[in-house]
Amino acid sequence: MNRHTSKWNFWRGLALLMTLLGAGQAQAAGLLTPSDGSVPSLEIGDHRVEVVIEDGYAITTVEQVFVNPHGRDLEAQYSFPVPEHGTVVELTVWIDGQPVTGEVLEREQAQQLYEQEKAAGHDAGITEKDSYKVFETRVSPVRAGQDTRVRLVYLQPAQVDTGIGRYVYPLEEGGVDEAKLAFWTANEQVTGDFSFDLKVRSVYPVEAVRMPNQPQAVIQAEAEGEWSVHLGNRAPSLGGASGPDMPDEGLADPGLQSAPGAPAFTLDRDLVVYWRHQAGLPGSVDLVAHKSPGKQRGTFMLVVTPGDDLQPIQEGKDWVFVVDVSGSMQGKYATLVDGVERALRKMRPEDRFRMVLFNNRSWELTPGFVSVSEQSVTHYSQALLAFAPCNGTNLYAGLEQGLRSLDADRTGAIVLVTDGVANVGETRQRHIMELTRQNDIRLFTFVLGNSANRPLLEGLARVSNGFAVNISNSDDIVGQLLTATSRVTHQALHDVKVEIEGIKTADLAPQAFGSLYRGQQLVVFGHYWGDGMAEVRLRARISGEDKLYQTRFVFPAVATENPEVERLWAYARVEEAMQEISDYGEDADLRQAVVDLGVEYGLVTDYTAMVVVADDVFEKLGIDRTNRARRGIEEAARQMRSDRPAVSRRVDTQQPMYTSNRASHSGSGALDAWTLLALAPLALFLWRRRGLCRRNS
Amino acid sequence: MNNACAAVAQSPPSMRMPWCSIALTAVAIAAFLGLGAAPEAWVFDRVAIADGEWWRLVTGHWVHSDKGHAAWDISMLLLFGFLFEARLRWRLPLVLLAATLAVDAWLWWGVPGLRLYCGLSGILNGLLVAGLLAWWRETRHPLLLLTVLASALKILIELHLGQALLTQTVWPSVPTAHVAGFLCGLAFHLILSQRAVRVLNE
Repeated sequence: MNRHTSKWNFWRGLALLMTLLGAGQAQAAGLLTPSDGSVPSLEIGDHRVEVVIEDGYAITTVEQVFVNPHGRDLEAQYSFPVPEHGTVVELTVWIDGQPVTGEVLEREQAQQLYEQEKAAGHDAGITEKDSYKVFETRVSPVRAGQDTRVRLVYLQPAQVDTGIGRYVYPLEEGGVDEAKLAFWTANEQVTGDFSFDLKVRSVYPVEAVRMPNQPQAVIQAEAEGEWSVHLGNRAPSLGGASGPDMPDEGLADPGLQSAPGAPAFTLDRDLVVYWRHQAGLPGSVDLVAHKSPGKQRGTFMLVVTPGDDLQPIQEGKDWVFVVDVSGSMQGKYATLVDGVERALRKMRPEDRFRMVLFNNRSWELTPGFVSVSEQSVTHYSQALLAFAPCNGTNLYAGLEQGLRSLDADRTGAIVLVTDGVANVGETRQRHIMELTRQNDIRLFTFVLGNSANRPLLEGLARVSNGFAVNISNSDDIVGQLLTATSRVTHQALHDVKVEIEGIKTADLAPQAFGSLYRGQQLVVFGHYWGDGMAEVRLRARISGEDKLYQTRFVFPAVATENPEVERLWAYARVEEAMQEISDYGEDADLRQAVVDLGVEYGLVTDYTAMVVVADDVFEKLGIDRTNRARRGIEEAARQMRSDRPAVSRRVDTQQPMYTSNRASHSGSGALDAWTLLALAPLALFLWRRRGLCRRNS
Repeated sequence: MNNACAAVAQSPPSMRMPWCSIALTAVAIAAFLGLGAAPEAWVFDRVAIADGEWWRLVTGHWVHSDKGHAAWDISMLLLFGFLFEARLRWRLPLVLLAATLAVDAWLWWGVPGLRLYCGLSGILNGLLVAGLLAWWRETRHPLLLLTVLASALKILIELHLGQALLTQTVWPSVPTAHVAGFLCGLAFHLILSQRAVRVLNE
């Protein structure tokens, strides 16, 4: 069987497996009410989402109206999954008809203030983060028979992988918190207007935009370098298809007209949007900076999109499947086994496999590595099927067993299939990470849905120089797996280091870069002082050989178009600190660092929360309105950006860092002048035939 | 050589208007002018095909990634039409269909990492080989076989370089699609030759 075909089919089998694992866990974002019926349920009247993706990051604005049809005041509690590397930067609640933007305080202080105002019957709101799982917003009171309007804004980096950008509006919860699921019931129905409007603005040409599983989405190429996506339960009117900006006053929107009998929208499935850049774009370096006039220190986001000079890997591999067979896998076990069998049947003849299972303990199903054959695949698939999933999840034991008896002479990789919620044996993330770190083997895993244990799974991939692929139930699974396949079948840049000389830089995030796989972008945040020309070098190893890429460009003296970069930098630092806390346990200094960053930059983190109270209460308590001011600056910058065409942030045009084009999944067949040259004998034949005909006549 | 000359002299007139090729050329031009470069709904997109958009298996070959790509492929289609349609006659659409299937099969199973593809050249290689060999069967002229060999050599060089020799298309070149088309043209000829032998024997 063809080598590439086998690899592809192997990953396609895994895709099925991942899809099946993710299935059946769907819980929705929505308004929470206790399952015991002690409190009546509120309604989501309107839910309007506006997303702008530009300059390497996405700004998501969600405006909602909570409706209280009951005869008493109630508290609204809205929960939604944490977006990938995203954080809430604004909670605005309309109090007495006026929007009041929240401020970030240390979490306990914010909770205390909210409870105090709530108890006094005053209007208040709070947004908190529940670890890696959800953001929760509470608003009190929603007056009897009235509506309350709230707005949430969050920021997140928007990266492009192998020429394809991906944005997820997360709505499905993973259902990993069983206690919470038992206690709360989520009302995910939008009874009024629902709309989702997304704009992609880029000077790198975008060939196509796609929204899988949403055939009613209206996708249009707008002005040069701009695409729009509209989805809603109201029909867009002529000329208003891309969705206008949300007005501050009221939700009436002349660009949209009500469709008779517009169906209620259910917030139970992620909305995924892909945008595909033109193939053949050069590898590039983009710099997005923010530096206020007169300030010495600026903040930057450096995005390196490598040229494609990573070659395909040819030799056979050893694959170790570490499969979670705990009780939580019940109900989907037969289909899981089917998925594993399909994956095994598609492996290459020169590959070998081992299979390690774990629940309360771990054991090996195979006697060491087994060559791929019809008999071995049938035998181990049947053995797997004969097993009944049960008990808890001892992830540590499973990984430990999987890492044993590796063949040092062959390239090996671990495919970890789990929800990542360890609850038996060694459950401390630090120890699980340490186990992986000690072994020189790449670990590949999948972050399934929004509530998978992302910190653990991404951490395991990071310390092993592997990678974790995010998969939503709304994703193009085939597309996501194409990306994963492309990565594991090509060389990678290892031990990546970035050096910046000629200008003072500090506070880089991430602090270590690890490996960079085919198609991945490298995003570096940091601070810089002064301005001027800088030498930027990217050092790495490809298959043991040192590689150096370099360029020169100017860090600007003043840059005011992207103030959001400051928050993105701060949140990248917060994520690093939180990763360290997850790995090694809570530390007072790290905790304080997160609090300081959260409060200074207005970020909702595990230790900070955003609270909204009436303006006079803020004033009375002496709480600075730094977040309100920051949001004002950001909103003005956003408006300014939207009023002009997208601009290039590429800085290596004078001295390109890469000579080759970016990796892409595109290809074409083309004939050329050499085809004409190949036809020369035919031309001679025709010429001679013509001469012969003339002579005959 | 005298036999070859005689065969050449007996060959049917080739300047008959190739209406089928002209019509297909018009379709390809209209697709490029009307839909632009690499229209999203028409290109070979593995993800969309897996989603049930089967028409892309055909339409992907008739759209192009840029002007140069379209100009070369479409002009070659017209040229091959003038050269071979009179000889292939009813077999011309059959060759195009067979080459379409062959190139699609190769792209799907042989280049699983390729998500998107467009362009006529893969199937044009099939048409070229089938046309040349059909002509050679009539004339047995060695220059026609030499043209087949020269085309094969060009493809081998492309394979070695991993890209087209001169054309820089916006979407990177996939030389193995040319191999698939070429082999399909060869197979087409062999199958028809065997059929012809059987008919003669009967």
